[in-house]
Amino acid sequence: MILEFARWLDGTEFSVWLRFARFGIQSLQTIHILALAALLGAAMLLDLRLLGVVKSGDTAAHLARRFLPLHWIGLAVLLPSGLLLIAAEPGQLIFNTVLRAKLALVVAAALLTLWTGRALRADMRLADLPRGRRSLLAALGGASLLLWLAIGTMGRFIAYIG
Amino acid sequence: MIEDALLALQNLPVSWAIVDNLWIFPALESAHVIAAALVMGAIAMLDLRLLWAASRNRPVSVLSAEILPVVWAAFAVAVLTGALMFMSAATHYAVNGPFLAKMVLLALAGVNMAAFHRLTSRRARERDTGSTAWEARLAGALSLLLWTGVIVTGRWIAFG
Repeated sequence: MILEFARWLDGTEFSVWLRFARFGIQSLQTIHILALAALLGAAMLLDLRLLGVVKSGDTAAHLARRFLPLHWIGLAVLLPSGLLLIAAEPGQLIFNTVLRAKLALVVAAALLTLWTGRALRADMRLADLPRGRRSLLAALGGASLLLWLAIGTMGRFIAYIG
Repeated sequence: MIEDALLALQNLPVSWAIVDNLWIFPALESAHVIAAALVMGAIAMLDLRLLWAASRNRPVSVLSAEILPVVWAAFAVAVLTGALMFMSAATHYAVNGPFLAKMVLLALAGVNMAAFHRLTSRRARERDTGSTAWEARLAGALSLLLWTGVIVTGRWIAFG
């Protein structure tokens, strides 16, 4: 069924237009990378604080307000640009195992970000939080960092692996 | 003479290793894109502050101290991976339009950062509080534009 959908999408004028529009795919990829930049920058800065690598005097709630919106804005641009990139070459991409793995990781990373948002609901500094919560946040931060780095890497590898 | 130098780079053992082994170039490229994205993302936060658009309650100096270490580390990775990729096909990249444009933009971004640094170290108090001077806004805006240009031209290298 997915195969039929991919074949149908491949033949639509929209898909062909995306593929052959002057600078179509390059522009989408560039937008995709810039959105990834915004997300990675925020994720790196937040996760280093959650992991305790960088000291932070901010309250947990303030950290959430400062960094999480950029995660969601980034995702809000990454998802449509990513979908359009798939729509441009659906025949090749829908069965690409690297892409599928990457999408699974994106879902996981988004869920972790939601969890982190909830765990950061406290008007206390990170250092003052109870130990259990601090450990949870450190684990979430570490996992998030690894996931986003892996996702970014796999994104590049999609082009190299069928 | 330049061409000899480029050919010499291309013929180094490490360059051949990159060409011969199927996974090294993709790995370098992936690390490069991630590092570049990190540089851009982190610098953008600082630039937005300079443009008075974000993190207004933080002094610029504090924000810089928090962000610049990340920027430098990521930049180091980007330069290292970029240099290795360049070496693997030096003669090809040296005449690649987008690549040359990217190098020019990188140089300009560097000059912009250095100029801003020199300018503001003389006005520490002014840049820390309240609205920032027009030079700071200009530096912030230029930085955002230049680094975006670096990423855009970077993507074009493969297509040009």
